[in-house]
Amino acid sequence: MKKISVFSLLIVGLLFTSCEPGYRSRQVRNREEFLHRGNDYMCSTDTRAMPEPDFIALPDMNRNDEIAMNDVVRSSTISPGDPGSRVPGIESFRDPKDDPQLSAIFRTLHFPYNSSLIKGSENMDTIRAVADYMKANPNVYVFIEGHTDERGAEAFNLSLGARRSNAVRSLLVKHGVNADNSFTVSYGKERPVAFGHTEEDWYQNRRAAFKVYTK
Amino acid sequence: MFRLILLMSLCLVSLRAEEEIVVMLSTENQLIPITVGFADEKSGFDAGYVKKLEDVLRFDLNYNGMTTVSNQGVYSVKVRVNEHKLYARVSNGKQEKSIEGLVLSGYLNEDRRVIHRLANAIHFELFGTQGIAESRFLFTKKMGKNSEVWEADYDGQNARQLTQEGGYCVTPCYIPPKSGKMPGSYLYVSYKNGQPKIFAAPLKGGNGQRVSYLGGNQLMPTMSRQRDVLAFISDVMGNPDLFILPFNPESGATDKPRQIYSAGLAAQGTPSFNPDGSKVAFVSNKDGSPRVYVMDVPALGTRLKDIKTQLISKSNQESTAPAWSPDGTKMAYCSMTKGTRQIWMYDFVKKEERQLTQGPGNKENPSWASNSLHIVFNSTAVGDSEIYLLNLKQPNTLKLTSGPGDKRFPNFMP
Repeated sequence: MKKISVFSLLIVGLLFTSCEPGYRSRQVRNREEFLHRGNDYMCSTDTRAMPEPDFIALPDMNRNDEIAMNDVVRSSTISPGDPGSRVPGIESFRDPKDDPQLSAIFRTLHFPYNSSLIKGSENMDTIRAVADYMKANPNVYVFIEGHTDERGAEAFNLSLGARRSNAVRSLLVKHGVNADNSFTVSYGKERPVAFGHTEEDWYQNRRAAFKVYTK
Repeated sequence: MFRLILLMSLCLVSLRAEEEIVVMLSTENQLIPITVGFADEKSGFDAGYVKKLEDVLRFDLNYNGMTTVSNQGVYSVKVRVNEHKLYARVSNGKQEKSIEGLVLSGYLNEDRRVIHRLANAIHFELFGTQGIAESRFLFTKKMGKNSEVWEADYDGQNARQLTQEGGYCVTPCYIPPKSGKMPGSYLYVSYKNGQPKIFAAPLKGGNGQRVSYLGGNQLMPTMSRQRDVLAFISDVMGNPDLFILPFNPESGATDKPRQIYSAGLAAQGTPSFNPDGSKVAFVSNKDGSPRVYVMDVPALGTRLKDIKTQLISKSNQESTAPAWSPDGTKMAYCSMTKGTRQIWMYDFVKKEERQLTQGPGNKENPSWASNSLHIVFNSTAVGDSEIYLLNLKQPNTLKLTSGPGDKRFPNFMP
């Protein structure tokens, strides 16, 4: 009887220490850690206190079909170079083209017009190569630049560039890369690499490119 | 040989005609003729200087959207310059009013603003409303890899550089001032830290301060006229979505940023509040191509599935950069029209879209003046991107800027 009482107390104690008000259980696929978002969060087997998010998401933003996005959000939202960041600012990141080994891995990806879809074997080979390299080298961080061609509106292209860089980041996370090791930056159509007005120039500019930092 | 010369002449004429940006007017708009007299009565300045001041006044009265300077008119204004002071008599054909007390310094940039003040006073006497002659606009000037924020008078004069970052700044916007005051600060996006982030800076000069340390890209800020909330685009959730941030211009953020709209894997952009801050217009390509939508600003806890958006730009496949007029009755935006971006307007009263501009060059980023009549925008009609001014009552747009560099993202003083 005493053992049952102690056991019950232990169970109750665990519930009170690891669950905060507003607890709502939910099954999570293929993950051991849990998501903390706003005031709606779950019990965790990890009893460390979850960091308070620095923004409020829409309450039904669960992307159950995109587990990688959970990791994207869960990751540190401190930008490189900002107070509290363990990663220096973008000025410490290098163009992989300056390194023969890295240039073969961190190749530029290209996109269809007005799209952030990552298609084609060449693009997917690059994603896999980058993911393999970063998983093998957890001290490597990347900025993923999103660019557009000249034809879209100036302001909206800044959003489209962000959409493209996030598409790459999301795919890398899905391939097992730590979300804390990648960051996005959108340049819209502000930094073209081809200055003509042909289909080939536009194709060259619709891209995601990498900058690399090794800690 | 004669036929060849004739053919070449015809080509030159047609090319010249294509250079102009023409405003498509509503048929009921008419400007009131006004005569302008400007007399130098021992002004203390040379005749050439007085002529320059007269030209400024004539410009202001020609492009206020209400009057047109003419040799004949019921309305009239007679200005005397005597011992560095301006004396004006304004008549609407029935009554005469005097405007006095404006002092000239002899420095053209300062005296231009004195003349603008006179023009606004004339406007108020004739129409009972403020003109825009004392207004200013922000814009960015891109030279090579650098882009800085500038400010100019509404006529493009007195341009001065505000940011000195040596980096890349885009999409500036004024923080609306307290009632009866002039704006004292502005927001802009800078890439100086790597990712684009929103900064607030004083117009009188000084470094910008970060508005939020939210991670990810922060883009396209805009402030409500109530001065209590800022809307912007952030990809902190892994997608460029619409966020708001409760914000006090004096003390900074008063709460956490809040996501208010997302749409699958679509990109959202360019938010713009309505005058009372209850609605926000924005761009999204959630339905395939970028279009302009309006939604209510959702209360905290509202679910995405309960948020309804209203499509505004139905006439064209691709529309972006919405700007809500200060009186709330209109929305300006740019739409791809037969291969060229033109400025369009949606009339909330008539519930119809109207194309405002035509002619060559992509026209983007419209911004309303406080009178809900004038719009500044940037256009590539002459090659480099320049800032233009249009008003809904006059057919010709005015090119306000010139010289090297691309001038873009204009934002009119609220």
